[in-house]
Amino acid sequence: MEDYGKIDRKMLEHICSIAKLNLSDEEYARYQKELQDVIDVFRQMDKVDTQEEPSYHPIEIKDRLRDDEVIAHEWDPLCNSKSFEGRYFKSPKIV
Amino acid sequence: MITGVKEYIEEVRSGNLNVDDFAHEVVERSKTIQKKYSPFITLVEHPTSGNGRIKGLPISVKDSICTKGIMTTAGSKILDGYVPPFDATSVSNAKRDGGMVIGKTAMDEFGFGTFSTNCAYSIPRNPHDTSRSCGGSSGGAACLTAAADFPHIAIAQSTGGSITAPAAFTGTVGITPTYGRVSRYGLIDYSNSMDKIGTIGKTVYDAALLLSSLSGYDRLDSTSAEIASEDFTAFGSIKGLRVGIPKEYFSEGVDKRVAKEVRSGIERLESLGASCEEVSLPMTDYGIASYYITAISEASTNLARYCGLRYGMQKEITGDFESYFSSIRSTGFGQEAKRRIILGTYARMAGFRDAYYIKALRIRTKIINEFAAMFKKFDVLVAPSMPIIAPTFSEIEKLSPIKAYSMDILTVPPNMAGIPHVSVPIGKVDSMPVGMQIMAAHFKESDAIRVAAAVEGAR
Repeated sequence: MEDYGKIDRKMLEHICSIAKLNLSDEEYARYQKELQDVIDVFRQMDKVDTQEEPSYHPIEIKDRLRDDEVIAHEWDPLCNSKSFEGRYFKSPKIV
Repeated sequence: MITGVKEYIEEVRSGNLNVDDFAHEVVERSKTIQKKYSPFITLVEHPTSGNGRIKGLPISVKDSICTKGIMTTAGSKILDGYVPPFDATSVSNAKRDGGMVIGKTAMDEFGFGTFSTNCAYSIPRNPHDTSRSCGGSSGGAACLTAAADFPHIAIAQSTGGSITAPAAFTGTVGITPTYGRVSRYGLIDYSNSMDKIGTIGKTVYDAALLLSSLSGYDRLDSTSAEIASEDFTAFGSIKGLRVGIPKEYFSEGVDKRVAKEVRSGIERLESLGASCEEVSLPMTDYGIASYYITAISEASTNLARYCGLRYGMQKEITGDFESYFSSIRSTGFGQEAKRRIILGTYARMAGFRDAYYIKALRIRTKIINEFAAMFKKFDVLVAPSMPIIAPTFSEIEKLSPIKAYSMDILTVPPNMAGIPHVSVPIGKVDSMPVGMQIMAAHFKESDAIRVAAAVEGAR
């Protein structure tokens, strides 16, 4: 596994490109130090032998299927948007 | 003016109180409290109420919970101006019983904090000492509960301790129910698998009363438990109750004076007929790491939805989608939100996912199993709510992120396991409140609540 447990500037830039965040140089420097400290503590988990299945929820969650019926929408999904045309959200150019 | 919830309900029932005049007075008093302590992000100028067993009772709602027609920001600028066209199920349940929503309470952005200082809007100040924090992230809810000179109960929310911490720091009662007990529909999620809506009240009765209204199955939340609500105010005796005292919750990092107060509370439980025994929960030491990885992994996916087009912060549309999306997120999110998005994205990246996210979930299984084994022998576990008393704002400024995260060491295990827990005031250190945390098995809220009521009654 490459660079496991290490956060450098290159890694941080890669993460921010995935997470769609623009950081200033000052933020990059600060986060690099702070996040490395956090990751070092996260690595404490390595001491624990884990054979158990992961718990995605704290209690058992059952899949529940509802009837395939049309339910009237009581509100306008566009009501909080400043960017729409007709009944559609209007976004910046994607492709 | 009446200050107690019980007394208020009696007065309304007997027809001695004009609900409209009362509402007007509550708004005026709320404005005064806002000037002194800043518990609100939004104050409702003309609150209304329906009919029901808590007719006209002032209810505040944490700002991460949607309220129809009232701005809801989750404490973040990226949701600035968002006015939900619907109520969260918890809010509609409170309204169904007659509750009157008086405002939206301050919080750390999206719940990302232990002290209500990572706030894009107001930072609540502790009514016991305004140089100190109210705790977080439901800091506004606890602040208002402690300061209100009128009957009031808060709808709050916890992911890793956001009800317990502020309740302990402000001398109020916080109930975090079992995961799934209260519908999350209409909650602006931080971490879906750990978020729980609960209550904060001045007394155990108050917090339990509102929980009875909020609870119950909701088909709009796929994780809602198919368990009917119950009357959580029917407390009962604790004679013969088996109480476990986890020694890890009294470890070196816990202020000795806080531990001493809680130990004296345990003696009171014994004098009331409970049998107490020291136990060990060794996985407590790994709670912080596994909690934060799980929480930030889920948070970073939840926060991916904020693109500045459908609601909240929006700008003039220029450039392509990538640059617009990144620009909105970079200006709309605060420092702690960015920190958690970056960490959560990192923990879920290809190549690292098994080492961080999946590993954290496996440790969570160990924590759940550890609690389950304890609740075969004990009815409740009792410990300090927080390792310290409410810190001053200048002390908080000096904390590094990891030091701040470590303050959650006593609250993350029960939150990861989704077990119900109550924080009840137990004493004071340096004139600041200390809370006792009472944990119970899944859906055994009533056990934790009756112990809290016994502690409260014996004070």
